[in-house]
Amino acid sequence: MNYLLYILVMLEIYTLLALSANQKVGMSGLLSFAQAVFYGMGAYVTAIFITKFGFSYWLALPVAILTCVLVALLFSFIAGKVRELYFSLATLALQVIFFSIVFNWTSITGGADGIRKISHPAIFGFEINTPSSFAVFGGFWVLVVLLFYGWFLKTPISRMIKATRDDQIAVLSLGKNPNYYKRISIILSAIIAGIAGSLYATYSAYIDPTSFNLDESILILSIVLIGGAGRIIGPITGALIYILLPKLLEFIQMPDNIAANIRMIIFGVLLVLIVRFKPKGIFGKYLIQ
Amino acid sequence: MSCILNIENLNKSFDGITPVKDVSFKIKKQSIVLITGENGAGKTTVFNLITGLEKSTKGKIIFNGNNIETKSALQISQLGIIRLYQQPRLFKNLLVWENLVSAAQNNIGNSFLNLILKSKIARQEDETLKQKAINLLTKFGLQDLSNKIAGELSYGQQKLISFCMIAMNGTLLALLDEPFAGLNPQTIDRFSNMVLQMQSEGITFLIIEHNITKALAIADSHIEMKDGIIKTINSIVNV
Repeated sequence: MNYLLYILVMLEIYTLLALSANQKVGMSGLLSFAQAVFYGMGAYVTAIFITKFGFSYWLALPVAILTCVLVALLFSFIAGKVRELYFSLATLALQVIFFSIVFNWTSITGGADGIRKISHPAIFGFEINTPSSFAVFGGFWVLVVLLFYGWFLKTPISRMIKATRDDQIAVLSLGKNPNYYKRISIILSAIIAGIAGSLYATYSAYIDPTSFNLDESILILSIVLIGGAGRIIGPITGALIYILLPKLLEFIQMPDNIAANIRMIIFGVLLVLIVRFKPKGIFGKYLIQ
Repeated sequence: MSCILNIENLNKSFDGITPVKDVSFKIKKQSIVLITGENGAGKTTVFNLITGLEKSTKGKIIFNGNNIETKSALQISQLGIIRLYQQPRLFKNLLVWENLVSAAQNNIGNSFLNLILKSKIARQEDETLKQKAINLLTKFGLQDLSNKIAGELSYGQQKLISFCMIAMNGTLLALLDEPFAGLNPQTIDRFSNMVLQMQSEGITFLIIEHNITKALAIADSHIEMKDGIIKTINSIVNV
């Protein structure tokens, strides 16, 4: 039962991550290799403020979100003006810089050893420390983000973000600033990834840099690519496939030591098949370029 | 009638080439001006200079009383100059009515802060703009396309929709780059009628076109360019 709940929490975290990547890649057309940066930032800022400054989760979370917003804002001013391949290269640089900082700034981040003993969140004195309570808590954050999208996708600004994705020269010639819409999208994406990171840090109670490296960024991007970009159902489907794949291997009674590697191989093959035969992904509306 | 665009001694040079040499002309408000010339005559460079995509080496561009020489492409388009490219630039994954609403300059919901602080007004205004977009499509007989994805329309339909975006935008001066290219005669006539209708509503047009016969039928004056200079400027009286 606990294993099933663990799967559910991880599904919730990866759903949030995939939704955050979809905001940048699917809604804005900004191919990013740095989604794990804001995921890691949310996790590290939460962990540092809880363990070093004695903050509660509910105080550390706004600090984590604010940090993500500020870094995303700064990044959007520097990289938001460049397009396509150059933007992707800038995200790659951001990913490398972030990993170097968390790996080498040992006095704050713990370096390769990471940060341990991150306390769990509490609501009205009730500590969320059981697998079932975490599953409900993770579900709460997924619901918050989905409700937000239920409102946001009907707004004019969301339409302009998609218009900028389709043709930013046309947006400019209509007297609107495409960089503004890209900036909003980058910040939204960072906030959602930051929430996922914060949730992950308090759930696992231990974080280290390997959870937030380039591999993780590519994995998050792949989840969106498989599920389909530009729609909410796409990233959710991608996260479901990625998380439920091990259960399938368990069903055919594959030994654990092989299953871990086989899972990534199957996921890779699936990615190749999707790119070849359904380039927009299973439920995608927009072709990632 | 007063002048909306005044270009004085406009020059553009780069890498030893001068695609635009001492170009000067004035455009009256609510007129249709045709620019013709062979490839390389400097027509597109003049468009690039007016819209701020390129900066001139020398000369003045006065639009509606403002010197727009030093302004960015974004600031120039915000003053009311819109450019339609030869290939229609629609938001291909959006619906047709969404394309039109996206073209509107005054949608307060386009700002995130306004969306939070004035959510009710933003929602109402967006609804009003949607209705305006549908009315506009109906006016030009394109209402059946309203809920279609823009990228799935035919080339001619995409051109007509991109033209409708001018009316939604609140444009004062529209620069049309070969609007008739790739259109069949019926669609050209339809397009010409739309231009005349928008002219009567106050919009000024500057058009580059190789289909001179069709373009002269709607133009008020004709500028002919050759090797970066203006060869002739003629007024046209259409019957």
